[in-house]
Amino acid sequence: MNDQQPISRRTFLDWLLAGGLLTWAVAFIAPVISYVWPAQKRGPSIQTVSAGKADDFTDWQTKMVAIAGQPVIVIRTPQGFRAFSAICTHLGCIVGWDAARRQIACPCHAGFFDINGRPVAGPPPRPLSELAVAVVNGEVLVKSA
Amino acid sequence: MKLPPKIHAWFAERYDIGVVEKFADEQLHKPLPSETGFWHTFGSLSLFLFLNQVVTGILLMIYYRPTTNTAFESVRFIMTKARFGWLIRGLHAWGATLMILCVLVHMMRTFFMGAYKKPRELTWVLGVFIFGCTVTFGFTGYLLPWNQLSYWATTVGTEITGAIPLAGQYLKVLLRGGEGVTGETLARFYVLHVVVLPWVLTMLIATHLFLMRVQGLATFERVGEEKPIDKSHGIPFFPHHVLKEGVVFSLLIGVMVTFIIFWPVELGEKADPFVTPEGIKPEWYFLSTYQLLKYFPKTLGLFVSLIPPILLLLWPFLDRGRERHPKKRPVAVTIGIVAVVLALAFGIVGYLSERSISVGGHPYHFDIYGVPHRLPEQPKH
Repeated sequence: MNDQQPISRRTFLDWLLAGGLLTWAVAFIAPVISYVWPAQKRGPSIQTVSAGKADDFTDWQTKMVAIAGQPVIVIRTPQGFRAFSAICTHLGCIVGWDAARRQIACPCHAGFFDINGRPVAGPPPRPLSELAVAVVNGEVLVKSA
Repeated sequence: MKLPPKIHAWFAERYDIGVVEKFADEQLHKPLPSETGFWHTFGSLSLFLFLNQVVTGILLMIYYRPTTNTAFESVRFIMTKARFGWLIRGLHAWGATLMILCVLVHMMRTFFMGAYKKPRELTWVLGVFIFGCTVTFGFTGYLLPWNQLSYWATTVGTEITGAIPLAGQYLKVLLRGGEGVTGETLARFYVLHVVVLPWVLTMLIATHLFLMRVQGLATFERVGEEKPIDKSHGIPFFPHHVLKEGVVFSLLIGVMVTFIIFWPVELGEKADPFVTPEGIKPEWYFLSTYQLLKYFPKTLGLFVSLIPPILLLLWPFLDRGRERHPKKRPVAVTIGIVAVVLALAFGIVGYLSERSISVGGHPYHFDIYGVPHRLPEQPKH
């Protein structure tokens, strides 16, 4: 025996109408959302940029270069050149070189990174990402990942 | 106020003007509770400042150009070349600050007088949304001059959005129009600031005002025991309260112009995405949240900073006692005072942090957490 009440024509039409309106709303909103989503999202781009002549750097001297539109800090250490993304892993400020501490410093929230890019003080949660550096014919070349 | 007879007759022949006249007369002469005083003018002051923002905003839009190459220069043009541009921008910038202040005072008045209680819960909830909308106005407008301070405050502010679990990174990209703060961000913030938010706020204010007029101002009587206010005991809206508002409006205009002249809004340096300047601070109304976020990891900090606005939103449904008079609500009033003191304290510490100042003739440096460290004295020459 079936106790279920049959769905009336009115209820069925109500559901149909509600479903139709919902479909209409989704069909209207979906293109709006996809329009608002950034149209040009940069994928990974490999780029090599010269940071200048190696002889122009003294030990612990730094230079800021732009690779694929992103700031990169290049540091000459006695062991060789190192390059790190200059975007702080905390809240995105641009880091700089603290000559007195010989550390990379963020001016926003006093975050410090050592010469390996690891956070040593303050709120940064992750190390700075490192980029490959090569000295070719006396020129310092920094390569994006 | 009456229309000239000929114009009145012209309308009366075409429309049932009596209905409109009756409605306007009722609104104008509506008696207000005897408790209505100067504290009750902060709502109208907020509305007046919103109108100021609309008018000065429209005027600024005539010369402002929202692209990274022109935004900073166009604001400089407004301030230096356009006639009275300094005044228009000053009114807009100081108007924004004072509007947030007035909305805050209006909310505090409502809280301490227990006016959020039944049957006015929805009016309060709309008020919290109005406050959120006003602050968002401030945040989006801050970027528009495209100077160093605004650029980096926006970078840090939008980066915090990325801490929201799961959807954070998507929201951040959607808000910025890409991975970083660029011309795409400027365009988005501009659209939000001049089109979306004004309409949203207008509708919120209209509904808030409608509910306020329909339900009337709250008295100190207990919930469910409010008696209708008769004309012999109430304060007439016109001319008594309107006169009070006129006095406060005049004072406010005087204060605004004084601020514009003695503390002009600076433009600073043009945004440089490769150099973060020292001592980046948000606007004063974000300072307490900014400082609070420093004591917690990013995601936890975000949740902690969301507690006050959620509490504000739900407060009428949490505090269901029937008393309205502050002297009969010791718990709610204590919570309110503690919240205000905490917000002020965090704000002051946020302002002092990462600054070096002289206290009692001795130099001190306040670290990131606001802890003072005495600096060595400079040798006197």
